[in-house]
Amino acid sequence: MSGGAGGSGGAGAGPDNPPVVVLISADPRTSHRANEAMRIGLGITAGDNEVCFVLTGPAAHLLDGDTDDLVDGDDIAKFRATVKELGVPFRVEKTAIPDDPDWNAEGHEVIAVTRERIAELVRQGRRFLVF
Amino acid sequence: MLLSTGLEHPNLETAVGLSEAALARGADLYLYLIDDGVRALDDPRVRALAGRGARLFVCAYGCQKRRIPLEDADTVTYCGLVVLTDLINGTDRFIALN
Repeated sequence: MSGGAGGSGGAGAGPDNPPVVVLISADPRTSHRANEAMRIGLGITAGDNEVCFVLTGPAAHLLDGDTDDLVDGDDIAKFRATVKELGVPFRVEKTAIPDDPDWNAEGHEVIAVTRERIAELVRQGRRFLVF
Repeated sequence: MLLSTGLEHPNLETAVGLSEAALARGADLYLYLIDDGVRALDDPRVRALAGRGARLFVCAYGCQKRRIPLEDADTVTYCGLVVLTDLINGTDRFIALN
Protein backbone atom coordinates (compact mmCIF):
# COMPACT_ATOMS: atom_id res chain seq x y z
CA MET A 1 0.00 0.00 0.00
CA SER A 2 1.23 3.43 -0.78
CA GLY A 3 0.59 6.23 1.61
CA GLY A 4 1.42 8.93 -0.84
CA ALA A 5 -0.88 11.33 -2.56
CA GLY A 6 0.72 10.97 -5.93
CA GLY A 7 -0.63 11.51 -9.42
CA SER A 8 -4.25 11.95 -10.16
CA GLY A 9 -4.77 8.94 -12.31
CA GLY A 10 -2.79 6.22 -13.99
CA ALA A 11 0.59 6.45 -15.57
CA GLY A 12 -0.40 8.82 -18.31
CA ALA A 13 -2.66 11.16 -16.41
CA GLY A 14 -1.64 14.75 -16.07
CA PRO A 15 -2.77 18.26 -16.70
CA ASP A 16 -3.21 17.59 -20.43
CA ASN A 17 -4.95 14.29 -19.90
CA PRO A 18 -7.02 14.53 -16.75
CA PRO A 19 -8.62 11.32 -15.59
CA VAL A 20 -12.18 10.16 -15.36
CA VAL A 21 -12.85 9.97 -11.64
CA VAL A 22 -14.99 7.05 -10.49
CA LEU A 23 -15.90 7.74 -6.89
CA ILE A 24 -17.61 4.84 -5.17
CA SER A 25 -19.22 5.04 -1.76
CA ALA A 26 -21.92 2.40 -2.22
CA ASP A 27 -21.59 -0.57 0.12
CA PRO A 28 -20.91 -3.78 -1.83
CA ARG A 29 -22.21 -5.81 1.13
CA THR A 30 -25.70 -4.45 0.60
CA SER A 31 -25.86 -2.96 -2.90
CA HIS A 32 -24.97 -4.13 -6.38
CA ARG A 33 -24.09 -0.57 -7.31
CA ALA A 34 -20.53 -0.72 -6.02
CA ASN A 35 -19.80 -3.54 -8.43
CA GLU A 36 -21.64 -1.79 -11.24
CA ALA A 37 -19.56 1.33 -10.68
CA MET A 38 -16.37 -0.70 -10.88
CA ARG A 39 -17.61 -2.41 -14.04
CA ILE A 40 -18.35 0.93 -15.65
CA GLY A 41 -14.98 2.34 -14.62
CA LEU A 42 -13.27 -0.71 -16.01
CA GLY A 43 -15.08 -0.31 -19.31
CA ILE A 44 -13.96 3.29 -19.53
CA THR A 45 -10.40 2.25 -18.73
CA ALA A 46 -10.50 -0.17 -21.63
CA GLY A 47 -11.26 2.78 -23.87
CA ASP A 48 -7.78 4.20 -23.28
CA ASN A 49 -8.97 6.65 -20.69
CA GLU A 50 -7.15 7.27 -17.46
CA VAL A 51 -9.54 6.27 -14.73
CA CYS A 52 -9.05 7.15 -11.10
CA PHE A 53 -10.95 4.79 -8.80
CA VAL A 54 -11.67 6.29 -5.41
CA LEU A 55 -13.30 4.17 -2.71
CA THR A 56 -14.81 5.97 0.23
CA GLY A 57 -16.60 4.66 3.31
CA PRO A 58 -18.04 1.16 2.97
CA ALA A 59 -16.99 0.91 -0.68
CA ALA A 60 -13.57 -0.11 0.64
CA HIS A 61 -15.13 -3.55 1.07
CA LEU A 62 -14.82 -3.98 -2.69
CA LEU A 63 -11.34 -5.23 -1.77
CA ASP A 64 -12.50 -7.74 0.83
CA GLY A 65 -10.62 -11.00 0.60
CA ASP A 66 -13.79 -13.05 0.77
CA THR A 67 -16.30 -11.92 -1.82
CA ASP A 68 -18.98 -14.43 -0.82
CA ASP A 69 -20.69 -11.88 1.39
CA LEU A 70 -20.67 -9.19 -1.28
CA VAL A 71 -23.50 -8.54 -3.71
CA ASP A 72 -22.37 -9.85 -7.11
CA GLY A 73 -19.24 -11.10 -5.35
CA ASP A 74 -18.14 -13.27 -8.28
CA ASP A 75 -18.29 -10.30 -10.61
CA ILE A 76 -16.40 -8.15 -8.12
CA ALA A 77 -13.59 -10.70 -7.97
CA LYS A 78 -13.48 -10.83 -11.77
CA PHE A 79 -13.57 -7.11 -12.40
CA ARG A 80 -11.07 -6.13 -9.74
CA ALA A 81 -8.66 -8.76 -11.03
CA THR A 82 -8.84 -7.07 -14.42
CA VAL A 83 -8.28 -3.69 -12.80
CA LYS A 84 -5.18 -5.14 -11.20
CA GLU A 85 -3.95 -6.57 -14.51
CA LEU A 86 -4.29 -3.13 -16.05
CA GLY A 87 -2.17 -1.69 -13.26
CA VAL A 88 -4.83 0.73 -12.14
CA PRO A 89 -4.62 1.50 -8.41
CA PHE A 90 -7.50 1.93 -6.02
CA ARG A 91 -7.39 5.10 -4.01
CA VAL A 92 -9.03 4.29 -0.72
CA GLU A 93 -10.12 6.71 1.96
CA LYS A 94 -7.61 6.18 4.77
CA THR A 95 -10.14 5.99 7.56
CA ALA A 96 -12.29 3.51 5.65
CA ILE A 97 -9.69 0.80 5.32
CA PRO A 98 -10.91 -2.17 7.36
CA ASP A 99 -8.76 -3.73 10.08
CA ASP A 100 -9.50 -7.20 8.71
CA PRO A 101 -6.15 -8.80 7.78
CA ASP A 102 -7.92 -10.50 4.88
CA TRP A 103 -8.72 -7.15 3.31
CA ASN A 104 -6.96 -6.74 -0.03
CA ALA A 105 -5.57 -10.24 0.27
CA GLU A 106 -4.98 -10.23 -3.48
CA GLY A 107 -2.53 -7.37 -3.16
CA HIS A 108 -4.18 -4.78 -5.37
CA GLU A 109 -2.29 -1.55 -5.57
CA VAL A 110 -3.89 0.65 -2.95
CA ILE A 111 -3.16 4.28 -2.31
CA ALA A 112 -4.52 5.48 0.99
CA VAL A 113 -5.87 8.99 0.66
CA THR A 114 -7.33 11.57 2.96
CA ARG A 115 -10.65 13.28 2.37
CA GLU A 116 -8.74 16.40 1.44
CA ARG A 117 -6.81 14.48 -1.18
CA ILE A 118 -10.04 13.03 -2.54
CA ALA A 119 -11.32 16.56 -2.97
CA GLU A 120 -8.17 17.39 -4.92
CA LEU A 121 -8.57 14.33 -7.12
CA VAL A 122 -12.10 15.32 -7.96
CA ARG A 123 -10.97 18.83 -8.85
CA GLN A 124 -8.37 17.38 -11.19
CA GLY A 125 -10.82 15.08 -12.99
CA ARG A 126 -12.17 15.53 -16.49
CA ARG A 127 -15.38 13.59 -15.94
CA PHE A 128 -17.00 12.22 -12.81
CA LEU A 129 -19.01 9.17 -11.99
CA VAL A 130 -20.17 9.10 -8.40
CA PHE A 131 -21.89 6.04 -7.01
CA MET B 1 -26.25 12.31 -19.82
CA LEU B 2 -25.94 9.08 -17.92
CA LEU B 3 -28.80 7.77 -15.82
CA SER B 4 -28.24 4.72 -13.62
CA THR B 5 -31.20 4.90 -11.27
CA GLY B 6 -34.68 3.50 -11.69
CA LEU B 7 -38.18 4.84 -12.01
CA GLU B 8 -38.60 5.37 -8.28
CA HIS B 9 -35.58 7.65 -7.93
CA PRO B 10 -35.88 11.46 -8.15
CA ASN B 11 -32.99 11.44 -10.63
CA LEU B 12 -35.55 10.55 -13.27
CA GLU B 13 -37.30 13.89 -12.89
CA THR B 14 -33.93 15.65 -13.09
CA ALA B 15 -32.93 13.70 -16.17
CA VAL B 16 -36.18 14.42 -17.97
CA GLY B 17 -36.14 18.08 -16.99
CA LEU B 18 -32.53 18.65 -18.03
CA SER B 19 -33.04 16.73 -21.23
CA GLU B 20 -36.10 18.72 -22.23
CA ALA B 21 -34.31 21.97 -21.45
CA ALA B 22 -31.27 20.94 -23.47
CA LEU B 23 -33.36 19.95 -26.46
CA ALA B 24 -35.33 23.18 -26.22
CA ARG B 25 -32.07 25.06 -26.49
CA GLY B 26 -31.10 23.12 -29.58
CA ALA B 27 -28.41 21.01 -27.95
CA ASP B 28 -27.48 17.56 -29.17
CA LEU B 29 -28.49 15.21 -26.41
CA TYR B 30 -27.21 11.69 -25.86
CA LEU B 31 -28.96 9.84 -23.05
CA TYR B 32 -27.38 6.63 -21.83
CA LEU B 33 -29.45 4.41 -19.56
CA ILE B 34 -27.45 1.97 -17.47
CA ASP B 35 -27.92 -0.29 -14.44
CA ASP B 36 -31.38 0.38 -12.92
CA GLY B 37 -31.65 3.27 -15.35
CA VAL B 38 -32.60 0.84 -18.12
CA ARG B 39 -36.03 0.70 -16.52
CA ALA B 40 -36.50 4.37 -17.37
CA LEU B 41 -37.42 3.17 -20.83
CA ASP B 42 -40.82 2.45 -19.33
CA ASP B 43 -41.34 6.15 -18.73
CA PRO B 44 -43.14 7.70 -21.69
CA ARG B 45 -41.35 11.00 -21.14
CA VAL B 46 -38.04 9.29 -21.78
CA ARG B 47 -39.42 7.69 -24.91
CA ALA B 48 -40.67 11.06 -26.05
CA LEU B 49 -37.16 12.52 -25.83
CA ALA B 50 -36.14 10.35 -28.74
CA GLY B 51 -38.98 11.79 -30.77
CA ARG B 52 -37.60 15.25 -30.10
CA GLY B 53 -34.16 14.42 -31.40
CA ALA B 54 -32.36 12.87 -28.43
CA ARG B 55 -30.22 9.83 -29.06
CA LEU B 56 -31.24 7.11 -26.65
CA PHE B 57 -28.72 4.43 -25.68
CA VAL B 58 -29.50 1.55 -23.37
CA CYS B 59 -27.05 -0.79 -21.68
CA ALA B 60 -27.64 -4.23 -23.18
CA TYR B 61 -25.93 -5.92 -20.22
CA GLY B 62 -28.22 -4.12 -17.78
CA CYS B 63 -31.26 -5.31 -19.72
CA GLN B 64 -29.96 -8.84 -19.82
CA LYS B 65 -29.35 -8.90 -16.07
CA ARG B 66 -32.87 -7.71 -15.44
CA ARG B 67 -34.41 -9.99 -18.05
CA ILE B 68 -35.71 -7.04 -19.98
CA PRO B 69 -36.21 -8.05 -23.60
CA LEU B 70 -34.48 -5.96 -26.23
CA GLU B 71 -36.87 -4.22 -28.56
CA ASP B 72 -36.57 -3.87 -32.25
CA ALA B 73 -37.05 -0.13 -32.14
CA ASP B 74 -35.52 2.56 -34.31
CA THR B 75 -35.43 5.04 -31.47
CA VAL B 76 -33.39 2.94 -29.03
CA THR B 77 -29.83 1.69 -29.43
CA TYR B 78 -28.73 -1.17 -27.20
CA CYS B 79 -25.02 -1.04 -26.62
CA GLY B 80 -22.11 -1.50 -24.25
CA LEU B 81 -19.54 0.54 -22.43
CA VAL B 82 -17.61 1.36 -25.59
CA VAL B 83 -20.41 3.71 -26.57
CA LEU B 84 -20.46 5.23 -23.09
CA THR B 85 -16.73 5.82 -23.38
CA ASP B 86 -17.25 7.53 -26.72
CA LEU B 87 -19.84 9.79 -25.14
CA ILE B 88 -17.55 10.60 -22.23
CA ASN B 89 -14.76 11.47 -24.62
CA GLY B 90 -16.74 13.13 -27.34
CA THR B 91 -19.23 15.39 -25.62
CA ASP B 92 -18.79 18.96 -24.48
CA ARG B 93 -20.60 18.32 -21.22
CA PHE B 94 -21.24 15.08 -19.41
CA ILE B 95 -23.69 14.68 -16.57
CA ALA B 96 -24.00 11.46 -14.59
CA LEU B 97 -27.08 10.96 -12.45
CA ASN B 98 -26.38 7.99 -10.19
